[in-house]
Amino acid sequence: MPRTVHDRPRHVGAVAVIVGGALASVVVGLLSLGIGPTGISWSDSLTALLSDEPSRLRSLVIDVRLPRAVLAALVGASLAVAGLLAQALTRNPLASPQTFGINAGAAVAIVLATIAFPSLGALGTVAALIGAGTVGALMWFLSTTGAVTVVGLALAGMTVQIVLSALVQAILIMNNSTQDIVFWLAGSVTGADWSDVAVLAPATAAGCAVALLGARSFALLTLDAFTAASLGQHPARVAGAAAVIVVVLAGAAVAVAGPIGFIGLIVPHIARRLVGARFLTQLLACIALGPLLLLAADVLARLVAFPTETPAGIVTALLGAPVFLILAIRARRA
Amino acid sequence: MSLLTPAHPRRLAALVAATATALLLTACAATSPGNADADPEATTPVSTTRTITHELGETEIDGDPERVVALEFSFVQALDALGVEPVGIADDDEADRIEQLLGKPIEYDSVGTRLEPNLELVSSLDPDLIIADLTRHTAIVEQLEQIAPTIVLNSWEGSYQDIKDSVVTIADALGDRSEGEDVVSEHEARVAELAAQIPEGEDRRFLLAVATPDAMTLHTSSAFTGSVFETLGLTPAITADEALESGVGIERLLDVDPDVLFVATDGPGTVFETWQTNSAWASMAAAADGAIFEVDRNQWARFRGLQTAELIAEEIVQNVVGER
Repeated sequence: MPRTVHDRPRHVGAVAVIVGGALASVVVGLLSLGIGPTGISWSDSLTALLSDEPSRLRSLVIDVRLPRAVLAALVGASLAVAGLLAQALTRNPLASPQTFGINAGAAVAIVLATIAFPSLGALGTVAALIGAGTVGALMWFLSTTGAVTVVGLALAGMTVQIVLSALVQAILIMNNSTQDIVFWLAGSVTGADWSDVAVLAPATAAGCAVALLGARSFALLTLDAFTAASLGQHPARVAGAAAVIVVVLAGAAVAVAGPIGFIGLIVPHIARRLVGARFLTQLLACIALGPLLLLAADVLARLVAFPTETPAGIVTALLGAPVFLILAIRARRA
Repeated sequence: MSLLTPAHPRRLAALVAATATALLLTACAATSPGNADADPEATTPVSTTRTITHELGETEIDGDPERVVALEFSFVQALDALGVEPVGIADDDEADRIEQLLGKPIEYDSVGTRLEPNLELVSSLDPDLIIADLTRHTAIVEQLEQIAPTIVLNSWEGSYQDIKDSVVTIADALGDRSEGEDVVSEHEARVAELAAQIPEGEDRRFLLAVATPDAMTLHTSSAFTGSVFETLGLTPAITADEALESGVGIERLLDVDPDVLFVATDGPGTVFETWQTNSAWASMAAAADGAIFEVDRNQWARFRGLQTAELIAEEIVQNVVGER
């Protein structure tokens, strides 16, 4: 990590990154309101947003396009913050909800639950949290044994992720529904509506709030347990709280948008590069930049084969996979 | 590899049996030449070789196949109309679908899913004809050919016309082309009767959408149901060369804006439930008109047979046009 470059005007720089990122997210979000198969222009969609006369146009913008943008922002923020906490918690730069198999754990649980109870609806989130929690606990246990190296742990996580993804495929093949949830499986906000936002928003708000309030304590997770304890911390409790936040944020995000990958891995790294080593500013930068990245990915996903949609998760995977490789090579050298 | 072995002795046995029969026949023919001359009719059916033209070329079929394996639902319905019970069906391991497809239970062995039929099971049934689908089975056609003569037809993305042609091709492969033509013309007469019940000037735009848990798939004029609509004199809401438009979100459906919408589901838990609660849903012509009908996904989107076409036509006449 670049610990030397940010000594001078880093405070101003960090504020600029956070405010700029948040503003850019809003701009991209508003731009995304102008893209869709019905061909409502950008200016018309803005007008519809501001008027309160009920119309077809307004319904499309307010109840179809807007919840999609809001959901993309929430998923982006949730995954980015979950990634940052996972990296701090395990002191592993390769940690993220996806690389540690937490997304896949949630996905398996949801697929199993919806096959058993098709009309589960929002309760699928509970299943997602259980799945995410189970894998989260396993990875946490592995990381605390200290027997596994940084890259080794990431490999273990990727293995868990691959095994669980294979399990999802097996379940779908046995159930003859491989074709039925391809969008959700790849990770997508295509079908977003306000009920999805209602499921995710409380989890995102609570997760980010606890992370911000406890930022000082979580920052010490990056130190070893002995040092943290000597600074008056209860390392185990703090770590437990961080793990719960990771599971809640990732599980809820997967429940509404599917296992979107790489946001949780790349955004914390981008944040660290841009704002330096202070945990609180990193956290704020993640909350600002996570939405920006996923909103941009979703806009790309809509434009790649317009008017046919592509899952946003495919775009994030294309962007994220090379970044993961670069990080893995760097982690090995370090 | 050990899984492969049971099939071979049987095929070997079949080969030996076939060779023996051939030798015996030759021997008989050689010993009694007068007999063969006297009654040529008796020997011709055994030696007729027909060339069946299908989607992937031509296949030689010797004699009248009796042990048929069908790898798509529509082929099973065609065989049933021709009075043949297949020995093996790619039934997606859901036997109740076959009962629903034919309206009666039949004896057969499952050969796995339509997407990935189990070649071992197919081979173990010792078929003398395999009917495969162009979209799903082109990749395994060579392996199927090694098991038995295989004809490839377009079912998955087939139009209504393709399905009707398939019935004739299948009848031809079974040894009686005219029976297939009869079945199709009788069917056409029934559909024409139903079509006549649709009032003149019915100009609403009809759409079939299959709802899954995360999106819808729209069936265009080139899809089976779309071309059934056209046969009935109705207008499909989407005219396109591609049969299916998949991964469709609510906005695309509203963009198509059908006047009459059929939503095919496997039951609860699809986007059909959530989308209806969206305020934009009501802006769709079909919603404003109360012309939205939830239908069975098996009958409307999976089976694609002649009987299915009649069932779809009946449902349209009864529920949609009749009400006006």
